[in-house]
Amino acid sequence: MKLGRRDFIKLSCATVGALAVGSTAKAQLFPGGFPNPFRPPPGKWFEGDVTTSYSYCEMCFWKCGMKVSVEGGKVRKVDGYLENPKSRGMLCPRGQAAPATTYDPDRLKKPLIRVEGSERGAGQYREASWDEAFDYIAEKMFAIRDEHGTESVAFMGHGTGDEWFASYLPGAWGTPNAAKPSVSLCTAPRETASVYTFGRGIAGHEQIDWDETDYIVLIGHHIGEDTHNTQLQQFAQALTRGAKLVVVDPRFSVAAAKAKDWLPIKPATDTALLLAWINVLIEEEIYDAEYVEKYTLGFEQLAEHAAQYTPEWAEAITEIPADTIRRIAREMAAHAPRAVLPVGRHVVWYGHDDSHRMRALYFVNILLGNYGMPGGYYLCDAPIVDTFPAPELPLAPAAGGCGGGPVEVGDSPFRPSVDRGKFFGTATSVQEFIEPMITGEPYPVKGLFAYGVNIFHSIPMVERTKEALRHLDLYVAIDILPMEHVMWADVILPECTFLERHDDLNLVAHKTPFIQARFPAVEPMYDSKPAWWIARELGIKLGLGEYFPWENIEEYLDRRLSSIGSSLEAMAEQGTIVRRGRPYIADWERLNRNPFDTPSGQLEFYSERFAEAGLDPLPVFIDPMEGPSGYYRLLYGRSPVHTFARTHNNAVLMEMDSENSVWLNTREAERLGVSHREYVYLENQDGVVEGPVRANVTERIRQDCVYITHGYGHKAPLMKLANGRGASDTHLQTRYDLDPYSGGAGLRNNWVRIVPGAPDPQHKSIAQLVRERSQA
Amino acid sequence: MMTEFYALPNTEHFWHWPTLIHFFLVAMAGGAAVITTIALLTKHPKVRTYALVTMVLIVLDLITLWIESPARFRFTHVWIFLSFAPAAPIWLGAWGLSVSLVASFFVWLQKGPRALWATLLIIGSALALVYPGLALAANINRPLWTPVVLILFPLTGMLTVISIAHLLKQDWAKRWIAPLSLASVAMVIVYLAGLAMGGTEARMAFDYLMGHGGLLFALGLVLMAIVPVIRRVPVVAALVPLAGATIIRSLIVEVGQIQFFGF
Amino acid sequence: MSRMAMAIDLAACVGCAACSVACKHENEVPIGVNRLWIRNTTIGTFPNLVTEFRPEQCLHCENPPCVPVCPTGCCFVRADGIVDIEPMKCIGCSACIAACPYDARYMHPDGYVSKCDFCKHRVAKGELPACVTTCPTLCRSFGDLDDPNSDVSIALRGARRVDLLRPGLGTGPKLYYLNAPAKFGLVGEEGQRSS
Ligand code: SF4
Ligand code: SF4
Ligand code: SF4
Ligand code: SF4
Repeated sequence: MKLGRRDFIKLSCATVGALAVGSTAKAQLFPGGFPNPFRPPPGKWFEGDVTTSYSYCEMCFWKCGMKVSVEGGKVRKVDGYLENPKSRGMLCPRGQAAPATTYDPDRLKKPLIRVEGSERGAGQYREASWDEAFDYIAEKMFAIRDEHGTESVAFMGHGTGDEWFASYLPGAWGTPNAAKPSVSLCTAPRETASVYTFGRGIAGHEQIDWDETDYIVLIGHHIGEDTHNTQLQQFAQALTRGAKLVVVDPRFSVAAAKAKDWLPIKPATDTALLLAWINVLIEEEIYDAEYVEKYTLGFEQLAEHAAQYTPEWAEAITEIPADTIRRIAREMAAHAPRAVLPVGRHVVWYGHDDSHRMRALYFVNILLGNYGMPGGYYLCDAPIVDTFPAPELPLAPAAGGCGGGPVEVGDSPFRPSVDRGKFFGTATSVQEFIEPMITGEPYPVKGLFAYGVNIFHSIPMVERTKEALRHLDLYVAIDILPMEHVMWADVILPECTFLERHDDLNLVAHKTPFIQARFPAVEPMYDSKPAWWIARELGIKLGLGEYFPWENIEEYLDRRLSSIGSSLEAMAEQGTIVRRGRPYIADWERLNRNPFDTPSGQLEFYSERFAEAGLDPLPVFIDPMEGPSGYYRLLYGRSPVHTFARTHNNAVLMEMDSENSVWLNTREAERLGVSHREYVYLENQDGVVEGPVRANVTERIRQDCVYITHGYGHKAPLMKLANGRGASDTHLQTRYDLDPYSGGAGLRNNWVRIVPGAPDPQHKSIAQLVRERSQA
Repeated sequence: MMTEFYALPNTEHFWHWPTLIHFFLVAMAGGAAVITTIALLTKHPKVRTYALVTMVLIVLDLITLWIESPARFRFTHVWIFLSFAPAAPIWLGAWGLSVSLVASFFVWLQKGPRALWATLLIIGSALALVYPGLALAANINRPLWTPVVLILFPLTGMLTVISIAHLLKQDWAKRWIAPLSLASVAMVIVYLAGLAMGGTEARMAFDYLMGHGGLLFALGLVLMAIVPVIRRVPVVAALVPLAGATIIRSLIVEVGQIQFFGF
Repeated sequence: MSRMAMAIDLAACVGCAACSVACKHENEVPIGVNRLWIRNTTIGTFPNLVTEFRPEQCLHCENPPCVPVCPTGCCFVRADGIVDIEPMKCIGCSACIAACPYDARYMHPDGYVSKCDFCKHRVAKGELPACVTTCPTLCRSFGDLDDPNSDVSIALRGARRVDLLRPGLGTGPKLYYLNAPAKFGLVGEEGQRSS
């Protein structure tokens, strides 16, 4: 449907009319306060006394180096700075909006304890002192330990402070049940595949040598909608420099809009395309034979295996013409090794298929000879800074990190984590904690800490998660906002925002590895506290004081920094310390070192270890799960101005993008009689309904799928801006498929149908809500 | 074509209901000033009354303007008289009204040189009558504010004030109602034809006007057009064109705040 | 004399709105009004599509229709070509809002008109505007048109094509859109060019 001009104007007038700030100001008798005829407009912050301090951004996980400007005791502006390899002087929209999160009046302000006898989720709380809250938690934890063992307390964490809550405290307490959703609900397959192919993990920040590459093939990788600052900068610079771009996506993404070729692939068939490319590269002998010969193992097996995956075979599956598949393969080869297929970040798509897809992707890169070569994947390791001298933790932290690859747990006197044995990888899978809470199998999980994790907006099967929470003896949430799941906790601990706190050093694996520090720009507001303080105080209450032998964070950081000849004071002046890296294989060979930490010391096409475990030693294409007829596969992605479900109460970001919409192909919309911007419901294959959500009737998506941006659809009345706007993809994910290799939960195996005729929820404008909030 | 925004352009209306009242009052004030001028020149016996009415209307209008201004508690309005901005219709209007106010005051006092007050009133009333149309037509980016409003607004402005004069039983007013009404109707038709037969943007504007108060607009037109038929019933003959003119003027001001940028 | 100007390379811009958020904080722009917004428009039919990401703000016109209609002289053009507002002279008549063909001006709740001022306080310190500084795609350039070595002059010289918004109105914008993705130039401006 083509949106007529008149409709459009009406539409925008409707939206804008609701936004008018001036007209409401007019309704007030004294706009701008008590009348003073000679009062000039209030001075601007930059005319005042401005001081700056260093930090690194926490608006997403990318952690760009940041300079914070304070005036009049308030954070006024944040900026990147040139010396920092992550921000390079720039920040993305979310980073720029950081002050609006600190000054969000809906923040958690005091520790809260659920009123005894009230239901979890009923939201009845009483204020408590920190001391009382810690006593309460400690008492419950001891009771759980005495009845079930320390392992029956689980921890989930996300964000910089998760080192304390998903690694350190669980290690000190003695539970392997610590996990980060950023692994099994995000990066797990790429990490497992990477470790088993390259003998190295993918660094936290995808190690693509953008500055040197000439040919880029993105597969379901939404650069531009994912505004990962450095990546976006380098991607854009590569395009401006003239690098060619091919985008494979069922949706005309922002990146696709920049591409010379857009391949609108049938969802869930990416592996077939990659296998066909492997086939063409090998059959036409246009792969980098020298590189393959020198650095890889198992090429013969791969060649034999890939012979079946012809472009014609792939065409039937992917709906991409065989000729196009061949042409792109040849173009890649012509640009190799400066041709790259970058690995994405969120790769838990279809479960059973995810590790195969990631390995196939890596294989194409290897055949192009780009791993460890200029213009391909560079090699990187995090800089080393000593830990603070403390007794060894009883249990090595088990959560793993999204950048570090699976952690080997080894022998320990503790029971293994509840998900052990369900899959091949060793990082703990966050979603696998839920069932043991309900069933008690293999052993009961009775306590749970959620640090900065939005468990109702990340873990699929939300109703099951709620059920699990009802079975717990203790649920502690540490957060900055009264998210829905937070209001289920027994104890709510208010953390301060990153602009108000120190944190541990951030050691970044990068082309130039670097260390960056975070300093508080202002004092914590309300009775909120930093993560390190909460962990330490709680640790002491739990009798684990010996593991926290520092008095305060300054001592802790200074001691760590002294191991590299720096100090906290020096860091306050500098913000970042940049090291030299060894990005290319040649840099390692010069030192007579082998960067590939596989058993063979080679890049492994054929995996003996998978074969031994009874898994496929080479990637295969597995037919995707099919949905019921009349339903569309539910795809999801990001708004450039939001992070996870975390920034949807930030006034500035919500003004930018206040509601998500469901992308529906024009022809499907015509068939269903759905018009652009109309409100609809989404009903999934299990009858779960989300919405009302606007329909975005568009040419930019295939007819067999629909798409929404993640993170909307909050059901949290205390978050005044976020509450009830748009639809949540997570709530519609009532199924997931476990990747048997990595433990990742494939989330794109859910289908929805469009139910037209939802009522217009008559959302107030963000400006209106902000005004109401400031008056309350 | 499909458009999405991150943050929105400032497309909301900048003039609100007090401005509509202002446009009504300024028609009356400007018209009254014109009548006072004519009365002064023709030595009409009621010239003092007209001068007083003019003053009251101008003051009322200025109060409305002041209420409408979001800067009403800052004494910044004085800058109008401290600057020289002859290209700004509002500057012209402000001076026109002020000059008319002062001249009317002396006419009412019956003090000072009559020739001077007459001259000032001729200039001031002309500016006051013309400036609303000018303030609209100056915006070549707003397609509903075509040059035709330069004539349409003074015409309907006079129609407004004469209808009220008729309502207040001023004998001379009666004979002007029908000609002014019909002239206004003619100009409205010229206005609409100009839109409907203009370029793409003008036609979009026509559609837009019809979609946002087209019926009301037609009603205004009919009310002015039927004046010759109903002119024998005094009160109705005054109220009907008054309503018609006010409807048309208000709609053009209100709906005309649209511009078709980016569609 | 100088002529400060800006250019945005639409081939690089991804419509991420970092510029808009930066502007919001830098200039304390109230929620509900904007100095800078992003217009993303798609044309064509599946799979032959073009999406243009177009940030919009005050264009600092060389022949600005907003200036002459101001009755108090509070809207003016600075010697360096920045179209500026003196808030203490503004009576809030909104004539300039009406006159701007680009929706760039808004009424600040404190009762004066405001809009993008090219971050004149930063320019005075020799810094770049906040939106230019933060843009992660580096698609914005700023500087003096009269200086052939300024970023903006260099960007203009290097562009495949240069487009103006609503050129038919003769406003002479000093914000240039480079390398528009559609063959005919800026989306929604086809009519402007032919008329
Ligand atoms: S990418 Fe954006 S939100 Fe993430 S750390 Fe960097 S500036 Fe902050
Ligand atoms: S910050 Fe840059 S890339 Fe993002 S919308 Fe603004 S101009 Fe475009
Ligand atoms: S864009 Fe609008 S506000 Fe800016 S100079 Fe041009 S007319 Fe004036
Ligand atoms: S130049 Fe400054 S005021 Fe203008 S849009 Fe950019 S940030 Fe905003």
